[in-house]
Amino acid sequence: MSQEIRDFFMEEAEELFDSLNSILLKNEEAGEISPEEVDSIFRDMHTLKGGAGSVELMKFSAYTHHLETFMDLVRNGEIELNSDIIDFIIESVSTMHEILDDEYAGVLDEDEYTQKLQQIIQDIENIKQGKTPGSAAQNQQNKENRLREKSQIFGENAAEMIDLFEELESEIESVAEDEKSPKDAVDAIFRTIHTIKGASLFLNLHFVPKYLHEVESILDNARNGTIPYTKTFNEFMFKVVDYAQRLIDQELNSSVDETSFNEELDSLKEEIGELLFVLEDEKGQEDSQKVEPFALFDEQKSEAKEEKPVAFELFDEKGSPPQSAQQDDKTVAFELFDEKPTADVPKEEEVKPAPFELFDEAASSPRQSVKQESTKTASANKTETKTVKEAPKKEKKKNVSLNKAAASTSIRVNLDKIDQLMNRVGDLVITKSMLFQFTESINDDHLYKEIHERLTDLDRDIRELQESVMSVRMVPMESVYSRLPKMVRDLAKKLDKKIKFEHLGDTVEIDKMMVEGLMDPLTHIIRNSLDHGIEKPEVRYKKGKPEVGRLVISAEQESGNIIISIRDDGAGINVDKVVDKALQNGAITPEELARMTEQEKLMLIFHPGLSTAEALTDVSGRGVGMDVVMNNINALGGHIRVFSKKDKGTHIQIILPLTLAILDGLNVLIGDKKFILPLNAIVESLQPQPHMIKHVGKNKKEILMLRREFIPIVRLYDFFNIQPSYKKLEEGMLIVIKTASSKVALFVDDFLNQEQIVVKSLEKNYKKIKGIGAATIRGDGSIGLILDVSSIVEMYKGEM
Amino acid sequence: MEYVVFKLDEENYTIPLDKIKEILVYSQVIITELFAEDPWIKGMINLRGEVIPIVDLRIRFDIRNIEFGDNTVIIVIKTDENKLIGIIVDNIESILELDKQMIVPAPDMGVSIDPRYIEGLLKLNNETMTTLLNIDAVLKLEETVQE
Repeated sequence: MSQEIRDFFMEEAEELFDSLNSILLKNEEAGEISPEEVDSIFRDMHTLKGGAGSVELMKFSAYTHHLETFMDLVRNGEIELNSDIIDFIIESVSTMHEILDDEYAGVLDEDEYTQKLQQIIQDIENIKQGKTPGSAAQNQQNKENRLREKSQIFGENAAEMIDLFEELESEIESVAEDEKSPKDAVDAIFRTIHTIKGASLFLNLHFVPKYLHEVESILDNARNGTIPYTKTFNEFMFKVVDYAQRLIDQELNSSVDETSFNEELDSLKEEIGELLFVLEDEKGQEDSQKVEPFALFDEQKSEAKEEKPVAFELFDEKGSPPQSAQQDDKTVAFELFDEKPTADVPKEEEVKPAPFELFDEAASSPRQSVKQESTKTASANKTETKTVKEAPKKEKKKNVSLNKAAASTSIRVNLDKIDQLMNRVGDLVITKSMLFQFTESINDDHLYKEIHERLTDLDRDIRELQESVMSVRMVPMESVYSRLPKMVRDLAKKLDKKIKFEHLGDTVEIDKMMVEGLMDPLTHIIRNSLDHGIEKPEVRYKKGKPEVGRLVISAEQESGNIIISIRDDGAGINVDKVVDKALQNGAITPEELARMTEQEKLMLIFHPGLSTAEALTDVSGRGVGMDVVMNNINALGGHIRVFSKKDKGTHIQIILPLTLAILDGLNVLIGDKKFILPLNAIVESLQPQPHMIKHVGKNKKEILMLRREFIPIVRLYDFFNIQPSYKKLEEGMLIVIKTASSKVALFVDDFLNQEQIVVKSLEKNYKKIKGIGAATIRGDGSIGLILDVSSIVEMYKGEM
Repeated sequence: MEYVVFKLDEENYTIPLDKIKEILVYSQVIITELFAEDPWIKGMINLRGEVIPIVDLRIRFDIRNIEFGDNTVIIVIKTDENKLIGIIVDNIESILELDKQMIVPAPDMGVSIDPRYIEGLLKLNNETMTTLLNIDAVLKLEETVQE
């Protein structure tokens, strides 16, 4: 079993778990799940079970089987859902996940597993005995949400399927071209067909898996060596695959009718029989021509409409229409779903089943009657019906097909490849600046101008290239959020609290590289919020707050930054306690305290010496070190702000740069050394006048007075111990920078050019350097050092 | 196993060849100085897009008369933490094929450098002794950070 296929399954499983959890969690409170969603859960479980079986994760498969059986009972109405049962399902899905992870990693504890297995069998038995059959109610809202989620999955799967078919075709091709021995190919073909079967089940297709199943059985024989995989066989496979592909398109358009499909299936079986006969005879005749795999298309008759409702109903029942289409009645996809072929399709003709042209004709009366029956479904459906009625004869409707669905979505690309691409672009940026530097040495004015002009063009192109590559790395915040609801729920349960969790800004994009680093801090913050922030229901009641606490996480993009906010309406941070603790620990001195603003006091929760458990509230908890959070966020080039009001709640803001890889920097000079200052930290720069400098405090700290604002001055040469060109402030330059909590003015000799730089980590081969955040490679190939503004400010404060 | 013998001031030191990523000529690299770091950290260089630190072993081992000449090289080491770190040495003496059994434990006394950095002693063909360095220990950066 190839590792690749296993990994592929694991990826898919991860998505399925997300889908399962999102349905379950959404409906947990209501205590019921609409039949469509139950279907979807069942299907997901089925896919997991089947997929796991095919990659030999048998333990997981067996466990899932029980839950699948249980869901089948739910589906048939033999078990009535309530919140307890949904809870049971959620827990069981968690267990499934654990088992899968363990089995995949090869660390599954046999005893523990057996126990879990017995537990679920027992639980299911208990539920069966305790409950009476009934039916679940429908929930339109839920359905729509689900459809939205589904449409995405649909697109992704369709894309996968196209890949699979291409793979399949090339395998068959390679046999035909004698590039590959049939023996080698047959395994791959079998596997791919199996995967397609699974994927089509996942897409809720009905006929395709049936068809493929037949194909699979005969291939299995070939695989076992019971029958030889000859050229005739291969020829046959060409047709089968070709047909299967069209069948999928057809089925997506719901233009397959049962009768003709069954005929087709029979003819396939017949064909297989013939093939076997031929193979046995060892004649190897090329007479698989007799097969008419396309016959199905000829059978599309209007009477089929009665048994097979229009696309909308079909999708509403089992569901996966592209959601965008649902809201826009002009969107082609849905018109397509509605356009069904009638008797116009010529019979007895070996039509190339061109799905793009077939369905131009609007439906006749039987279809409309079906439509009227379907008015209980989504309102978009009604609108759609109207549109179709108004323009029933619209020419040349494009049809939805696998290719269509895939076009709107994505391909899977390994992150390493994107990284490589990113590095190449980085190199290009460096080479470009080398070239720019080189042009300075050209004495010929004309030549200089010519070259410079072209280089400027190149510069622009490279910037655009860079942006495009960057955008590839961007993923929606959704990918950060996806695991949070489950976590909040579990934690709330454990802590006996009632929480309403919301996430906003799902579509805001974030650098994929940052997602990983963001997960931990977010988890910490949310845990803290639940543990120490939001009070228990009875406490909240006493305070006159709603019993259900609110936790909202949101993301927005603002001038080159991503701002992620985590707000709760809990008890807030007890600043006095934090301060007391900080004083006790010697984290701050009373003098320092006297100078601190409210915001700075709040920021003390990130001080390494403080246990948040004690400092935040009276509730003792796990005391997650908030300093770790701070470190993680700093490592991502971001910073944190905290706002809090007693009994009103806490608001933590994480401000992150859009990307980690490239930044605009300003070169500054100290003595003969150059440093790079990130441009986004700079507020302004100025040559100070003597009257702007004040000296305060007992050690005569220098302060810049700028428009009534007092900004402390940091002499960078002191900081780095470099011999500067100027020591008098009036002779050099002050650059005012801001960090989350404060502003400081950095004293440098001069500032030079501004340039775009590729950020390289210092920690990869070295370690953190105080005052230096990262490095870059300069035009001449040497290393440039990027100043770490926030650590300079922190250290400056430490000195005070 | 193959070993590289290099010279620092008057002493010979040895490290296993498989720890070495590559060897650079000192005079051909541009070292960007770091500030307020330990003095034995010479700075950072660009090794084909990678930013790697350079350690001056002479300062590390408290050898004071430092001269950089044409023979001065930077040996780029891949540490057990998968970091690339360059060390400046005076000269590469030789590459030897030696049996591991020829390593004898270093005496507790009479060695000029921290015993933690020493794996053992090796006798070379010409009867001279060379110190087999535990280069990973030498280059443990965090450990030496002064708090």
